[in-house]
Amino acid sequence: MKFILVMAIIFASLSSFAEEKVTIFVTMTPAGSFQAVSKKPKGNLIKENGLFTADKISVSIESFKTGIDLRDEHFWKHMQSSKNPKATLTGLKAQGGKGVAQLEVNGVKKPVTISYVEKGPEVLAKFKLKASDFSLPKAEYLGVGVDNDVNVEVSFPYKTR
Amino acid sequence: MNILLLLLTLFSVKASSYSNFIGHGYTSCLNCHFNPFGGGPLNDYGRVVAATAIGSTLLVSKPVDEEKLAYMSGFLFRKPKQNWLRTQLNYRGFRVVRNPGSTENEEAKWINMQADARAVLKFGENDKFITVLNFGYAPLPTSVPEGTESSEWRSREHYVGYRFTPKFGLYAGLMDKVFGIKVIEHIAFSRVSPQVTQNDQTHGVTAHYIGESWEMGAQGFVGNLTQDEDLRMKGGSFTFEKTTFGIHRLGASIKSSENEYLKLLAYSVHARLNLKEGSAILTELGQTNKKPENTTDATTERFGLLQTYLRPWRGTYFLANIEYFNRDINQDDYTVRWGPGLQYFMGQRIELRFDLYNTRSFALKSSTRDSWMYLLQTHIWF
Amino acid sequence: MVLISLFLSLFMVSAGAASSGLKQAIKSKNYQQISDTYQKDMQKNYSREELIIISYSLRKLKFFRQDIKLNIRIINKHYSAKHKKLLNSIKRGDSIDGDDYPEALKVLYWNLFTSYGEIIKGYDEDSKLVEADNKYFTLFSKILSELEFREGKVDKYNDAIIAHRQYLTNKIFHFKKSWSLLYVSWQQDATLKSDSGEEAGLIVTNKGFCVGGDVGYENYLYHFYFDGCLLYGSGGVKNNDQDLIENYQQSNVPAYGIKAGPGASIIVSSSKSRIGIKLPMIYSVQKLTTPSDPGFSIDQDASLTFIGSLYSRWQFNKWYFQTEFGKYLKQEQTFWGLGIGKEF
Repeated sequence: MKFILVMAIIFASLSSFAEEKVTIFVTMTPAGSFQAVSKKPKGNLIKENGLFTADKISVSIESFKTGIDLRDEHFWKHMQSSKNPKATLTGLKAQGGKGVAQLEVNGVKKPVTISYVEKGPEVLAKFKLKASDFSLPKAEYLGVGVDNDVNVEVSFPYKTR
Repeated sequence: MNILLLLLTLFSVKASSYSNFIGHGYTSCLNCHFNPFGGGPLNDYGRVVAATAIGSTLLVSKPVDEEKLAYMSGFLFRKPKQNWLRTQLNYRGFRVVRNPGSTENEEAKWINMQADARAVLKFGENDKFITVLNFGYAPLPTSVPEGTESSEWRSREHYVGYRFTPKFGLYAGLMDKVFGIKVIEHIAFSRVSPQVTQNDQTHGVTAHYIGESWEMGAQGFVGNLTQDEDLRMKGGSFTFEKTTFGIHRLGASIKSSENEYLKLLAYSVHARLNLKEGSAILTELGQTNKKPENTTDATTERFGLLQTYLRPWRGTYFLANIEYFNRDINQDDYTVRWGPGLQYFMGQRIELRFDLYNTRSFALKSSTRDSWMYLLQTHIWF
Repeated sequence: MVLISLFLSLFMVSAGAASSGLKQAIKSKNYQQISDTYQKDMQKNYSREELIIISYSLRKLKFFRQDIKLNIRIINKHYSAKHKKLLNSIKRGDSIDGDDYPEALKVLYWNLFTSYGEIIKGYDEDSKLVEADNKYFTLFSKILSELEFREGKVDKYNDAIIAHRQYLTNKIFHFKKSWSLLYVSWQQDATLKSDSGEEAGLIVTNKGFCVGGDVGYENYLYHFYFDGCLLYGSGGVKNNDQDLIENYQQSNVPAYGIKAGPGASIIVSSSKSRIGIKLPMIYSVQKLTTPSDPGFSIDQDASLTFIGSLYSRWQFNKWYFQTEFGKYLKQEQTFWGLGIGKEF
């Protein structure tokens, strides 16, 4: 019985969870674009006295989908998913619409500056990256490449303390 | 009539190539074609897209190995072993049935529309320098009197191109004219009125520039040099497209040309909307001013196109094709051609298509029964 | 057998010995015997090893709810403190180090996760029961993610259960309604008659608007509905048989009526765009003027016709753009429409 009660406490906190999503906006060369989307980021985002913090938010590289199966496989391979299966954001601190964190991709850690807005029970955060900063090689397939600069959007629910 | 125009306009202004593939995120034809304005031979990437995103997996053993499909997308069903030559064979034929179901007037025939052999020689980093050759069968238009001596085998394209930078290229030779949305329906009013059908290639010089979120083409042409000189339409054209909301394209085109008999000025606005997951809407609205030489009479034709593509699953597209044509904007009479269609890419190299056309005339001084036509098209390429 | 041995090995530390009967039964894969033994005396103070054997057997026999109770019993009996500590950490949003928790406990969570998953997979219709079981399933999924235990397998299994739940939810039909405005064109027949018995067929080509809407039921794949609209427009006619009468011509003759009928569509994209068919009837009224030449009349009944049409809709949130193209049944005329609508 106690077990159930304890579970119920967890449910109360889980039930407010909205949808988690990471979207990477990729520009192709010579032209065009696609989005790589994952709906499986994991972690905890805490809001306390207006300050957002997260020890770790991670996402599996192979959870990203681009709309074309072969392109998914190439995306995962390019991101070296077999060696570094996750991208991880750690040490997030954000307040007043701006924040900083450490982002690790392909085994390389770099600081990122984030802007965000609160939307109900979740936060919508945006930041820009250069693929080359994470030792990712230039991506090109049969003459069609992708821009080094990518935009990332993350929507993630938070818990209030 | 005005309301129809307004509806068409609403969807242009808002949110041979296959321009509808913007639905897969490909805003520019240059991703898949050697010709930056689309049509003609596919490059290696275009072949792979055809195999892995467009074509169905009906004929492929399961589970589907996408890498294998990509590898086999080459001309000889494998990845080419050299980088300097690409070839393609292309056939398009269809059965056209006019007045179907009519015991008196039904007319059916098979037309071999196109049978080409294409070759591309390419050199330099990122294929900076290309030579494109395209020779094949092109039937004479039905309006040409029988017995007219004219070969049905000819070069459809032959040009050289050089990309000075990935953004800028120059092309010279026989190419399609640069104007509007290049839909594959060459009977479309939006193609016929401004004279940019599949047989309206011209000799000239074309410049192509692609920016961060826009693309343009400018072309100067002297007509098709295989035609008699008095018939050659000489002039220039310009087209511009801007990417909006990251995924759609809005554009405008203008073309001016003349020969000894006719002066032509065409202009249009268009939109290509990405509805995602392969679905798209194409729309174009324009006018063509035609002035016969040695007269003061000029007529202005008005054309509109709304083409919708719904892709329920890989390989299949449901179409609705709605066209508008007014032969003289000073008159109220106009024509609407409407037709559902179904396009099925059985695999990378096989396309089957069914189009039904109903044509209705709207005229103050007459009222006639609609005319009907359907097409069953087969397109095979290697 | 390898699996059960592995499980057992995890619990070997201070585990009570299992009865030889249970051991023999598990070796010979006689899961029913083990279950029957357990059913006879569920409250017995079974050793940890025995409980593992029973749990394994219950899962093999697909007695998932009983297995859940058993695993909870094991956790409460042997890992209560660790379990509470873990739940509190999750609730607070603390970082969790999986190494702080025994492997055996993680396996028990895995058992609970998969048992709830199998129960959910067994449902054929969505209900509050599915929702209730899914809450527990989600909890154990979250726990396993925090512990980073068998992450790849957890993700894959999670996907399968989410897909099944989505399927159950998608199956449900919901009531839907919308209004629409179509720009339309349609043709009508009439006959020009002379007193001498000669006749000439007339075609009236109309264009106008149809304002109305639809009501129906829709799930993730199908949309069944009834739609209707009020038709108003105008058209023109001209006699083409000049031998019969010269210059009979009318333009902008008002026409009004109603179009209504059932339809069915298949939804083909995640944005709810759809294609389908409709079988409406059109009842329209249009009065052509009698020719001024004496001895002639127009035969034009208020027409009721049935149409078979192809319909497509492109959805943009609540708004949509639609096209309709139809042919009159057993007649040559067509009806087409192009317009917009909004769900409400």
